[in-house]
Amino acid sequence: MPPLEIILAGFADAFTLVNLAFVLAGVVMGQVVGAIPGIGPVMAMAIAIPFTFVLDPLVAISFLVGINKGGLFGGAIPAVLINTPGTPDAAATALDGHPLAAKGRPNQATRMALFASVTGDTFSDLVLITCAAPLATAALMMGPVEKLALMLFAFSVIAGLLGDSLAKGLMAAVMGLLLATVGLDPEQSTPRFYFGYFELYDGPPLVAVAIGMLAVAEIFRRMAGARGGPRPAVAASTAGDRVSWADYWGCRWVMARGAVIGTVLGAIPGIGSTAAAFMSYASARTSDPGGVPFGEGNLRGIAATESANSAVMGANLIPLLGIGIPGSITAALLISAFTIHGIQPGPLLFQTQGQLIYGLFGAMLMANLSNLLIGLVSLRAWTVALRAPDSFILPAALVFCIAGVYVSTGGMFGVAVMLISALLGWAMGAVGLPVVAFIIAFFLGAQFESLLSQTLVIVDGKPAALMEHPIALVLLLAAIGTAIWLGRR
Amino acid sequence: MGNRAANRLTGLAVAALAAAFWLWVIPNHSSASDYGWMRPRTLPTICAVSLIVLGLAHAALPRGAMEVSGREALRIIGLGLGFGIALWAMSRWGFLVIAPLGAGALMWALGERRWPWLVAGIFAVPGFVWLVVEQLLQRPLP
Amino acid sequence: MRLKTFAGAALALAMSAGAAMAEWAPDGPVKLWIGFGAGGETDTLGRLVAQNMSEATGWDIVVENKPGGGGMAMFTQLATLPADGRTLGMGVTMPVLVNLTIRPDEVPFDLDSFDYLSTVALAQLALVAPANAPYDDLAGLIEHAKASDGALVGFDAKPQELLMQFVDKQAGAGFRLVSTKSSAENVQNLLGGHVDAAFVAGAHIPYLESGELKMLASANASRHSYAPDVATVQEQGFEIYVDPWFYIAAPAGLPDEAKTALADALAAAITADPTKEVVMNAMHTEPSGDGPEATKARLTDGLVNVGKLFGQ
Repeated sequence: MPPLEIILAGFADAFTLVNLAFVLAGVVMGQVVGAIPGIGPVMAMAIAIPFTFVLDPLVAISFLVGINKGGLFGGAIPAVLINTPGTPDAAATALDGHPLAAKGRPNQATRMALFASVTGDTFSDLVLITCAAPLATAALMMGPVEKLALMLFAFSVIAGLLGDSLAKGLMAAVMGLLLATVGLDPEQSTPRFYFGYFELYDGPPLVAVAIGMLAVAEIFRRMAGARGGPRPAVAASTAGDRVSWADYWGCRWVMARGAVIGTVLGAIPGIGSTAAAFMSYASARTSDPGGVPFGEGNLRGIAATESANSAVMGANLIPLLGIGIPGSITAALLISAFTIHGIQPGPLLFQTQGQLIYGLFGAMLMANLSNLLIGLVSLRAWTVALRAPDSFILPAALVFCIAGVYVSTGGMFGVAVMLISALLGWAMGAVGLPVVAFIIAFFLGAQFESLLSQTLVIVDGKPAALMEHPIALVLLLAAIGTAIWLGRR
Repeated sequence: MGNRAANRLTGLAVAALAAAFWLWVIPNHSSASDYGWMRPRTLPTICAVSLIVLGLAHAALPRGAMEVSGREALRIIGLGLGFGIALWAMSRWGFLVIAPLGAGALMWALGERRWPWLVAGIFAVPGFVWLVVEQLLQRPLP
Repeated sequence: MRLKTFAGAALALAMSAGAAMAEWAPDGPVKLWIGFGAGGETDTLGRLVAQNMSEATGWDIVVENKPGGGGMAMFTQLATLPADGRTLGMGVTMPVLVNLTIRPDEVPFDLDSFDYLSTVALAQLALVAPANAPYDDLAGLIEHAKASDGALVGFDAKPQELLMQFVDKQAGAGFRLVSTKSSAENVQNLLGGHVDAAFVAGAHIPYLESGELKMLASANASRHSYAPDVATVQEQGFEIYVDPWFYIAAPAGLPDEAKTALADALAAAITADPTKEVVMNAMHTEPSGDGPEATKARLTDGLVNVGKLFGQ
């Protein structure tokens, strides 16, 4: 850890009016683009990077951090209010958030999401600030074998969400896994199932599939179900539509667990926030629902997912700042912002750029506070705006989906994939195949196949070689234990 | 159609599609390989075979809810077709022409007749998107 | 401060390049297609080149991302466009050459489908090992592999795998090759001690300085500017190399004056100071900016070399 005066100088650099202005601007922009299906924080950061060429390094990075944090929470807004998640991790928020909003408590649902998001985020930021270096070194012990075991453990926890029929849940998950095999195979890089479309070499575009299955399918379903003239898109607010201190306090354990799950998965490069959100939700579901059943508008369901997926982002920077490895696309984008400004990311970052790093930490904390304050104001605006008739909201949302997916996938191909995914998503929903299981398997599928391939090469196909990987063994036993425990319930 | 029968049919359909994938798509659209642990066809074959087993199991022991409605299905297929045509038109005539037309047609079909909302949906929303994406972010639209 | 140096560089560029541009100008905006997604190194670099070029020439240059297959999707589309100098594509040689070598029938274009305008940079690919490994070069790694029942080597692209298989075949080392998705993943596996060696394109340089990693060989045809003492794979006795060039091309059949004007403008923008800084930081190599003839030679020579990698 650098000397105290560098730490203080870094924080002093961060807490200036110019920086605050850029953080605020970033958070506002992030919340807006996060709420637009298809764009999301990653795309927004990628778009913003060229604009930061002309800024000071710290101001540029603060701005990007603001966009990222605003965007993380922004994705939950449409998920809760109109059941059209802008990102896959927000899909988990929609599971309980939307039913609660539909019951006439849109403010309670969105605010709980906001509070949980800021709580999880702040927790992981504090972990990052206080122990990035030792944690990053510990995370290095997670090689391909250990990560595969961790992923199997995550699968066994998430399996609790498969729905009312085990066969259907597994069918949906295997279909997602099969879709993830489209593109170059991980070991020998030969193309599979691409039917002449080179766009499919890297697999179907994730954004297009997620937005199609989650958001566009819901828009279609609502349009097809609409009859008897326009209605408001969001149920009007009824009595008790607020988050009391008792509500927040009642969620403390699920939020804490979500924050820990998010921080751990975030610190290990390559697992991702979708798995964290669903793992946290699944583990919350095994606890006492306390009144409202899960899936029907339980506040704890919202708190669990939002604290976990927000905690991932702070923790993603642990490997970046600790040892110089980007743990996620967001971290990789921050690296390109660093490099544009002539800062070399790497193991010596703390020594060479200590003041800047502590400035970044200051900006992160400032962004959390801004997210909370701006969120409180903007949520009011969102719930009013979405009280517009659904005959307006649904076509508008569709226009946003088209533009967002077109921009982020770079052409009409992605939009066509989005349409096909929407029809598939609707058909799966109609016959009771859980779309959520499909999406999780699809998102983790490519990584799963790659880790499986690496693991088989490393252990040379000999199960006995696993004895050299004690962490993996423990995780595998935990996975089996969880599966048995969940199976008996 | 009863719930059980519809569930059985779903299971059989999944099994049949998976069998077609196994027998036809995998041999024709992926390469065989003679080295390595995870070959290009390993995971797809495992998936296809598990889908056949799961589909047949589900057909034998149907469980779970179904919400199939013929009316809704027809409407969705219609929407999908319309969307497809709109996409084709958009790549030909551009976002600024087709998005307002498409949004207007959808709003009209959803029963919106109040002109302030129609104006907002037809002009304001695509215009806002165009301003943000093309002008502010300098990314192209179709 | 930055704004000033930036504008100054652009101004200098404009004055030096202005005269050469007068003969040809595009009749509308020029699109620069990037064969990769938004936010990557190629994307950042392409946008910077476009910005410099636009400031120097006054042309309107629009950057679009066309990801898919390491640039294959983009070049497939580019080959179908008219040769009016209004659309350019930026990609990297390796994925194109590999596909042209192993499945020429399925690729809807060949090397003659494009006019080559400029190289951007050569990716410097190194074979790297943890600093505490008991070997310092390729021969040592081979000995280690023979002594300890195989060695794990990480790679993130097909040509690297082929290069290692070539070495393995010649030396009988018994390498076990671990396929990963990026240099970052390889660095992580090296630092964690999960592999014995791995290919990394630049991301390892800071770790050489911090003493956590060491470099066994340059996989390029030449040694690397930052490590002139480390021999290439070729120099260590294996007649093989991998040279991934970033380059810019346009549909074939450009009028000569358009080709010259575009190539000059690109070369000026690529070697300008602000670009240089980003190339050095993001790709750890010098920007090249070779003209049309040299760029075309890189591609044709590269195709022969990739054929050799595949043992054809």
